[in-house]
This record gives sequence, C-alpha cells and structure tokens, in this order.
Amino acid sequence: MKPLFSLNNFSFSYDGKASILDHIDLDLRRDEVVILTGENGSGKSTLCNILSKNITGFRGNVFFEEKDFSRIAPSYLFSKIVYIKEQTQQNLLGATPYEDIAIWQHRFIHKYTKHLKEERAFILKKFELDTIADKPLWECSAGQQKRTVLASLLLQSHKFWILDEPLYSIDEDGRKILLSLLVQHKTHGKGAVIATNNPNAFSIIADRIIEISKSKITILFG
Amino acid sequence: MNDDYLLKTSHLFCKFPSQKEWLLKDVSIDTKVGEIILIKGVNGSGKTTLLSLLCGIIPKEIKAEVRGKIHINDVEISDLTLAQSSPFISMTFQEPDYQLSFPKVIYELAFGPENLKISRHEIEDRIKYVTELLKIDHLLYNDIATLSYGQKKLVCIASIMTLSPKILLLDEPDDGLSFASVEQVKKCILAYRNEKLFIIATTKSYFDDIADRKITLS
Ligand SMILES: Nc1ncnc2c1ncn2[C@@H]1O[C@H](COP(=O)(O)OP(=O)(O)OP(=O)(O)O)[C@@H](O)[C@H]1O
Ligand SMILES: Nc1ncnc2c1ncn2[C@@H]1O[C@H](COP(=O)(O)OP(=O)(O)OP(=O)(O)O)[C@@H](O)[C@H]1O
Ligand SMILES: [Mg+2]
Ligand SMILES: [Mg+2]
Repeated sequence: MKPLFSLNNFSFSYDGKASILDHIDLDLRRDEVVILTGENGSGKSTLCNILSKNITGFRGNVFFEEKDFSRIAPSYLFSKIVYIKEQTQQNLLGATPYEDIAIWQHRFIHKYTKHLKEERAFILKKFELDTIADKPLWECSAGQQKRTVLASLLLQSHKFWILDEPLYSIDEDGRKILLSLLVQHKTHGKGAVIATNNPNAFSIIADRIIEISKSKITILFG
Repeated sequence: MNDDYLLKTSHLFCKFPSQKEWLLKDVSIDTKVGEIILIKGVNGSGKTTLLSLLCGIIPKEIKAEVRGKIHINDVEISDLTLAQSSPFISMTFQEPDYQLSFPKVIYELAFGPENLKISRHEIEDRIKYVTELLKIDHLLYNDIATLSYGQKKLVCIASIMTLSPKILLLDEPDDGLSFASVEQVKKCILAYRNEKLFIIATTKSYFDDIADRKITLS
C-alpha cells in the first residue's frame, strides 16, 4: 500500500539553529497504528503539528497521498485526518459534552441525517458522559473534558487519527474505552499516529513503535 | 504555627452549587510533615476538588458548599487568606497553562520566594538545586510559551518547590511526564521527604512505591 504520509530527508528547527528533527525518513501507512514516543521535549508534538499543518517551514520533502504536502489544502487534509491536540481545551468546541458532540455531528451532517439524537446518546454513553451531558465543560473535571474530546473520534471513523497524548488526565477505564475504539478503527482498515510518553499503554494495537531521540528516529518495534 | 505541621480534616463534605448530592462525603484525613499521601480515584471522583479544598481555593475562589473543618495545627484554613496560607500550603494545577503566568521560566521560579522576601542568594540556591534535580536547568531562560507540555509540567513542579511551602499538593504531577521525568520528580520529592508533607492526586500508579498511604475517593 502507498504511504499516506511520506517524509524524505526531513529536518525541522524552530530557531534555525538547534534541530528538533534532523534528516529523517519516515512513511506512515493509512492502515497502521504507529506509536511515537520519546523523552519530554524530544519533538513528538512538533511532528504531530507538522503532519497537521499547524507548523510549517521544514526542510526536505513531505508527501501526502504522494502529492507535495505544501500544495495540499487544509480543508482537504482535514477531510482525511483528524488531529487531537495535546492541550485538551484546544479541542473543545461546545459548552457542554452534549453540545460538543452535536457540533461534530453537524460537521458531517451530509453523512448522518437520521438518528442524530440516538447517535449522540450512544457516543456520550460510550465514554460515560451521559450523566454530565449538560454540564458546562468548564465545570467538568480534566478527565471528563478529555473524554469529551476523545468521544468525538466516534464520528471520525473514516479518517486517519493523529492523537497527541490522548491519555493525559484519563483514568484506566478511559484508557480501555480508547483502546477498544482503536481496535475497531484498525479492524476497519484505518490507522493512527499516537504520540505518547507511555508506549506500553498501546502495545496491543501498535504496528510500530518509533522513538524520537536526539533529533533522530529509531524503530523500537515493528 | 509551630513546625510540626499537622494537617487534619474532620468530617469534610463538599458539593458544587449545581450538584444535588455531596461530592465529597465525610472525608477525614489526619497527617503530618514527613508523609507522602496519594489521593486516588477515577475521573470525576473529586481529587482536584479535595486538593482545592485543602489549600482554600474552594470556597475562596471557586464557590461550593462546604461542611467540616480543615486545620493546620491549631489554625483553621478558612481563617486565612490565600496569600497568608500559600507559604504553608500550596498546590500545582493539573493543567500547567492555568498555573504558569510569566514569560520566562526563571521569573516563574523566582516569583514565589521573592514575594516572601527570601534573600536573593537563597532563591538562587533553591532554583539551582531544584532545576538540576528535575533536569530543567537548561530551560531557565526559555520562553514558557515555547516549552513542550512535559517541560511545562516540570516547571510547575519546580515552582512549588522553590516556593517551598510545608505542605505541597500536587495534582496529577505524573501526567505528561516520561518515565525518566517521573523518576526525577520522585527524586525531588524524596529529597524533601523529611521536612515536607506531600499530597499527590493521581489516577496512575507511578508514585505507589514512595507513598506512605493511599486515600481512594469514590
Ligand atoms: N514554538 C517553539 N519555539 C521554540 N522551541 C519550541 C517551540 N515549541 C517547542 N519547542 C521546543 O522543541 C522541543 C520539542 O517540543 P515538543 O513539544 O515537540 O516535544 P514533545 O516530544 O511533544 O514533549 P512532551 O513529551 O513534553 O510533550 C522542546 O525542547 C521545546 O522546548
Ligand atoms: N466548579 C465546578 N462546578 C460544578 N461541578 C464541578 C466543578 N468542579 C468539578 N465539578 C464536578 O465535580 C466532580 C469532581 O471533579 P474533580 O475535578 O474534583 O474530579 P477529579 O477526581 O479531579 O477528576 P479527574 O481525574 O478527571 O481530574 C466532577 O463530576 C466534576 O464534574
Ligand atoms: Mg508533546
Ligand atoms: Mg482532577
């Protein structure tokens, strides 16, 4: 299968001096789950931000579906990928878990015309948010907010997932729910990149584990 | 206050205005300097709420109905303003962006002790010691906005360490940290173990091996 992302001789630096990533080559297939790990400050989030066009200005070549990444329109990119940012707040759209999911549904209204209510109830229940569906998100606990963010993935099963530290604030139960989603995602032939400090938490679904260290990448597994 | 620093809560109850039932029900804690206590519980069980109560943020900054008393030695927390109590009991936030308020790491770390009129020399010593333990000494002059998430989290921990209250409340300090960084945080905690009381809220088990006791909320 052709890679979804292809990085060739890729380098990136914030200040033009110290390289965060230095001459790396990396292919990501649309059907594989790749775990990205490394020390705090090694460059995991930087790479996620590049793949989702939040950061530009790299050197080398990046291809998306074999086309020059710089010529891919963000609207097209985001019809193919979803990016869950490291900071929970930055992913929230609504004022309550219910509203947040409703907004995500609205974005795909052409696809889901019927059963919106039932679907919403199902999604909220899956992440145990049903009892706080109408609670203002700013009063929700950190884990409840993060669960709301992860719940939106249930509406994005057709996309490739880029998840930056999806386990922050999440308890063991929440981790299991996320894993079950990832297993399902993979069964449907879809993939993900997951940046995490805890690769063991994802070992059952990882096709590859890649570590960033000293601006280089090493394949630890796969 | 004398310096044994006993922290005691008796029959503590708490609920937020929108809640019908008590979120925290009859929580009694009796602890003192020299201990490391873990607060465990699933998402939404009230860990952050309990820490916020202990240091007085609830109900002083965040409204809630509270019953029961919190004492440090013979002083009741509710009788002090936050400015008065923070040199004795302080908390790091779960989300680092809510805590960090200065442009550079060094200002963030110096602010707390400067406010307490600690000598410049002593402040420099504290910053050097703590940042070396946490391996963030190379970040002292970096802009906080450019730090990675885990680096911010380490700065939050460093900043409560340089403030150096007797009682330190850490809300999910392991979240966002690599295994190596967690080990550094543990080293830092152990270095202060005898002279401080640590109360750590966490859903994970990284601190189990250094804790004296666990309190599980449900
Ligand atoms: N906007 C920026 N300007 C300058 N340096 C930055 C910027 N953003 C990040 N950095 C630096 O780049 C390095 C990589 O940061 P990044 O956020 O990618 O790390 P990470 O692997 O995600 O770390 P963590 O596990 O802590 O989330 C860090 O040393 C960080 O200080
Ligand atoms: N300001 C508030 N107003 C109303 N309800 C609140 C408020 N803050 C928290 N809550 C609710 O109180 C409960 C406990 O929240 P808290 O943040 O203490 O949980 P936690 O154990 O820290 O959870 P997490 O593991 O997700 O961080 C949650 O159900 C939350 O929705
Ligand atoms: Mg990161
Ligand atoms: Mg909490």
